[in-house]
Amino acid sequence: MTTSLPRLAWTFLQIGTLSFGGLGVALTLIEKLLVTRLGVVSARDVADALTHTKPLPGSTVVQVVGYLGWRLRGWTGSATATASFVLPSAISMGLLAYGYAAASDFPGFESVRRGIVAVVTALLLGTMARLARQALSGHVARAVALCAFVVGVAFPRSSPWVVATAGLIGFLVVRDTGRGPR
Amino acid sequence: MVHAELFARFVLVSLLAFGGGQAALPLVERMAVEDTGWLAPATFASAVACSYITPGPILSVATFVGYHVSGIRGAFAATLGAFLMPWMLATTVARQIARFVDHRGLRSFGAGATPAVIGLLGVTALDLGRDALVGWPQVAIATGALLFGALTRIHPVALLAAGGLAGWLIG
Repeated sequence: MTTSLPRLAWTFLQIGTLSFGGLGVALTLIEKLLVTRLGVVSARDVADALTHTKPLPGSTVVQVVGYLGWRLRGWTGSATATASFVLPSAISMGLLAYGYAAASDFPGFESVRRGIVAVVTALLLGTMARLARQALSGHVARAVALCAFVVGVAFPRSSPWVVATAGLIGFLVVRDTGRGPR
Repeated sequence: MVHAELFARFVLVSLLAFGGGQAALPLVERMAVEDTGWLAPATFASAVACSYITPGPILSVATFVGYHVSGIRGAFAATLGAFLMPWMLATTVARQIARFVDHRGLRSFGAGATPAVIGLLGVTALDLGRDALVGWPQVAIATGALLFGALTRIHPVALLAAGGLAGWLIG
């Protein structure tokens, strides 16, 4: 099954506009629109897209969209789907960035901002806990996470090096044992 | 020149973000706040809040950073940098699934990098907390959000709206 480029663009524009809340919501919308309504991909295709893009670096949801776009219309479809999906997010972020400077002059802005950032801190901690449950399954992985935290606090500019070094450690451990850090 | 730098820095961030868009936040923070001074810590915290409020990928924080650095062109350069390589990788994977997905080197690098990214997420949460949790009322808001987020299926946007309202009422 396939679909026309304009239809592909319109479908992913809708998904991108309604995907509040990250990957889970986007996957639900993809399943409703592409699998159930249009019938151009199967639920298995969506699951495959997620499985195959998870190990890659970068935004998983964008990669799932790019993967499915390629399955439907090749490179052009992939580019169209990804651009359509990212567009609503980019426009709304641009508008918020534009409005941020103006809004910061309003009385009470700082109180509202602190309230929102307090919630963001909590959401980030929740995400961290979920990821930790999935990925920190052994002593070495926990030690790497702890070291990264300590080094990140002590040397604020070190993040890219920390990730690259940990990746190299993983590369060497897996090469030797055939398993990830446990 | 700044557009090329925005593009290049976000390409690097995207290539190191093993674990999805959330994993990129510590790297964006280091790059935009510590390395370049493009954003004040409070502005970065607001950018992250905006990325939660808007639809789509969390890494759209790149658009916010780019706009603050150099307007619409900066926003375009940063957004392109953040999504170009992940998109190319995903599309390449779609073409040659078996070779890439089973590539041992990539999987093992990701297996090592993911725990580090989780640790660095803790650093970002700490930095955001330093900015926002200035008193017991804000700590109470964060604790309430953490509990509601963990125990209910409430949408994050509703939590953010409630946090903003509570912050305004507290003053």
